[in-house]
Amino acid sequence: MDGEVLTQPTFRSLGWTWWTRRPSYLLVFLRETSSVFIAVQVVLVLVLLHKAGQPAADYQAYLDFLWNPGMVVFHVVSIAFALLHTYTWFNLMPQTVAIRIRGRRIPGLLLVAPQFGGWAVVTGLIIAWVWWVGAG
Amino acid sequence: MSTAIETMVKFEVFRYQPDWDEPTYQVYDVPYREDWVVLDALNYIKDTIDGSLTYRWSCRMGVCGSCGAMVNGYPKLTCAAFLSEYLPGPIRVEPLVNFNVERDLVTDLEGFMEKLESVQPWIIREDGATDDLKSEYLQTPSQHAAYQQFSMCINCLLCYAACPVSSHSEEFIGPAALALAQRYNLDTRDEGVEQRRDVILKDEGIWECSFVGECSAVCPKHVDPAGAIQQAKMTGAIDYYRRLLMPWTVKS
Amino acid sequence: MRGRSHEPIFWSVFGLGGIVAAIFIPVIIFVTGIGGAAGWEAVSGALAHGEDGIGALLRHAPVRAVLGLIMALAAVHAAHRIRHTLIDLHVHAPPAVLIVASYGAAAVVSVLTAIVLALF
Repeated sequence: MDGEVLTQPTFRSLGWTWWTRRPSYLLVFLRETSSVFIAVQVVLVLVLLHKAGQPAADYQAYLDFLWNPGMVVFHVVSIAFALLHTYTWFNLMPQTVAIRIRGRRIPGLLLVAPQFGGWAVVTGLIIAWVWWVGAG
Repeated sequence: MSTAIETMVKFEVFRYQPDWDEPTYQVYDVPYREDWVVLDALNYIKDTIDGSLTYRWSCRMGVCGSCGAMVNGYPKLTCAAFLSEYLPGPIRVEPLVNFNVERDLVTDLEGFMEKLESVQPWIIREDGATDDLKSEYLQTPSQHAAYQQFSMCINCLLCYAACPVSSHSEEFIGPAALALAQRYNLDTRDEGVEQRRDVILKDEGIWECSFVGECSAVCPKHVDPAGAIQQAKMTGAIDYYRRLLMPWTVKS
Repeated sequence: MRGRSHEPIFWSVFGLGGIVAAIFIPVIIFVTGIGGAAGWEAVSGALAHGEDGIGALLRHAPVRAVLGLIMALAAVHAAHRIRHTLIDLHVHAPPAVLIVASYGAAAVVSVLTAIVLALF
């Protein structure tokens, strides 16, 4: 009453375990986790490129490491995370890019579909090119 | 009177008074009614069991935005959370997280009010004619549509309780205030983009957001604050490079 | 510019890297880590040591330039996400430390990639 503040507020935070609270949070967390796998894969490719300039035995030893069963499991997990990144990235684009034509926002599908189309074409071309070099 | 045995639902309600050291959960048994929402149950508790329970509410129809709480750990308007969705219970009701709790379910809104004011969520005219009642500013339906979605916010603050960034950053301007900033920036009648720029383009403005997107998922008015912030980032990034590379095109 | 954030630099490169990673990282993982191991001889042939294998893939300078760009952008993209994820996990590190550690690591990877590809 005399200006004395009784309130002693207590702060309650969503907490650092927010990603365990709901499937939608977990999906976002996995989406963000894809970055760790992408980072490791970039480093693995960097080492591969470096070893390619070394004597054949060194390079082969690195390939043997890269293709041992344990690492293959890691690659499969990595590609799953990379595809999750691809999928979520393309699908979130309409929220970031709001294109209006005559005052109306264009449907999200018009932004999302071409990205998946482009991704399929690029992936197909690269695999065909690698195939052509490897078989030729 | 009916002699049928009533179905009871157990409520675990967060209790905290300013002179307590620790919050606690108090258990109440509330009769189940098919058409009741959590707010009805809170009113039942206050009217018939425990008059000391403190919470905010007003319209009980999803317009005033004052009855938000965590219902079983998820931010909800208690007036829109039907008991039937939570059967058989128990139903845990807590104050919205990421806020200071003053008493029971009542949170301290002071910090939000400051953030809201900092983005100047009103129409700003360069000639200062905000209170010139004779002025008329025309707008086409498509110009109106550009910001209409972001204008639906009722300041219920569910989005802050859903936001992992707000959970660690007290300074983060946050979803609702940034969506409202975007709402006025996109309004053709408004000329306040420059005035809002410094607040929005700080780290604690749009840049702390990591696009978790749950703010948009919990919004009872489908405002999509996450989209508003992402679009503001796009504009902000273009603005940044323009100032860096073509400073002569920016008026000071 | 006082008080203005320089986050747009990181965010825009993160965004560019996000698109690049979305398009190229899955197929890069497939070619380098899965195809050969799965016994696809065309893939292991293309990655074989010497002029008929990986040398042929990387013979042309534009290919090496594009690959280097993809790797650098993906590295910065990942660094930005890891930094923000750590912050969202309530890791209390000084902002400058996180910035130097994350983008610094990405810069090191980018420079090493550029050197390796230039000397190829």
